Amino acid sequence: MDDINLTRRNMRYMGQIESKKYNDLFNEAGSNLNKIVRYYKNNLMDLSEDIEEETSKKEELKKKLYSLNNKRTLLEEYQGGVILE
Amino acid sequence: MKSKYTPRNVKKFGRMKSSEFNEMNKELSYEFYELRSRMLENETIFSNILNQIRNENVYLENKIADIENSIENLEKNNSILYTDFYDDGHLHFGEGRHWEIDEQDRAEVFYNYSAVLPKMHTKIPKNYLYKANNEAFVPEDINIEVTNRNVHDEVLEVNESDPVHAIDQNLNTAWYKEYIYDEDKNIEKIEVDYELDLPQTVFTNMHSNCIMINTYPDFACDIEDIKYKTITSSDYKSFNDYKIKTDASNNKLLIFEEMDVSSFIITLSSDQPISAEGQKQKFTVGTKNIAVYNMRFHEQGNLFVEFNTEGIEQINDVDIGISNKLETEGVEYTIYGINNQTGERNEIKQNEYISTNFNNDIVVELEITDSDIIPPVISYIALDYS
Repeated sequence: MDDINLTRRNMRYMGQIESKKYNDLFNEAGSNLNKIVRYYKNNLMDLSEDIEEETSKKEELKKKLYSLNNKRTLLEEYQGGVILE
Repeated sequence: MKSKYTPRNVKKFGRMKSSEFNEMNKELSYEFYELRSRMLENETIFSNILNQIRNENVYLENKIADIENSIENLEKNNSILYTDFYDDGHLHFGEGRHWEIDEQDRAEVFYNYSAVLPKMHTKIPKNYLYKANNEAFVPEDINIEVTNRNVHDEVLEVNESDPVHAIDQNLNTAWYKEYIYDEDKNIEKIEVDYELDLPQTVFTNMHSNCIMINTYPDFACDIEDIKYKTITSSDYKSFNDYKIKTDASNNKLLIFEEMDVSSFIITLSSDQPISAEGQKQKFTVGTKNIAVYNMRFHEQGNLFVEFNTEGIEQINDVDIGISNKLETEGVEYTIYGINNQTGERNEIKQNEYISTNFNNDIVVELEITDSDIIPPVISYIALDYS
């Protein structure tokens, strides 16, 4: 494609075909961008939300496990005849 | 990812060649292509992370079910109301009630460590510093040495991350050391020492009375021992009067008598191999964070621990778990029954029958006093009832 000086005059008299071409190019870029945004929303965003949810569940489960572990140790001590203070 | 696209400025009434528009479009197309490739890569990485966390959660759920089962059997012989302090589910300060504890008289709860203390009023770090923007950093004058204590000779591979990650005050990074063995090797346990020399040229004094340790990886690393050396002593001593040992990567907060500590040795162990690729077993020990402080506390801190019951007859005994002392000195408690209808509370005496209006919601008021050299750290409370 030949270079063209996009002055107002050129745009007005010569550039209508060219401006349509650039319009199409940027529309295509916009459409690609939309595809990426859609892909992010449909795939990565869901995944990251799931990771966040599972991570917070893990933290809760960890605390519960620590607590139960401590409780079991204490009950075992009681069974072993340790006298309550 | 570095962007290829650079925005252009076109002056008003200025000129721009169509080739430049074409170039901009090419750059944008390249960016889109790169972005999409990265996203596909990330999707795979995210999926793997998600699967790993889900597997860990299944492991945790199974482990919890196992423990609940064994607790059920143990409880056949004991009627115990128990809580520790990993969350605020059982704790409050009587908010909105006429017996609410004043702000300045409230105890401090460190949920990550299941620890209740009198309220802290100062906390001076001794193994890290702050930049002007409050970001923590590790001073250069700090020495770390990691030593194998008991790791067996027939190790196939040893991997280690940067030991500074253990003290960078960032819980998203960790120092770890992993040992990979053939699956047929009978390895009961590995033990590793993490020795930390505090930066003596940085601080005007080395008084400290607290160490906090967050172990890594989850569920597989235990703290066996914590030893210390003071500026004037040449040998290490163990905090063996304290309940040091922790299981299953339980974090540790230890308050000890204030002294000029120059170094610590933390002995970490693992007896739970994580399966590795190709018929191998992997043992890992490490820490996400170690912080040393000189803390000052208010004289007293109070809080309420609440138990919801289905109606109990009497409380036979109260067991208050203190993780840094052998005696219960510095801890007083009063037991109350709360009337659900009126909100009124009545003091309950041990070994005495509890009236039916007050036997569902039981509240224990804890009063923790820093009158001794070391304030008590309460880690759990258990009520023996019938």
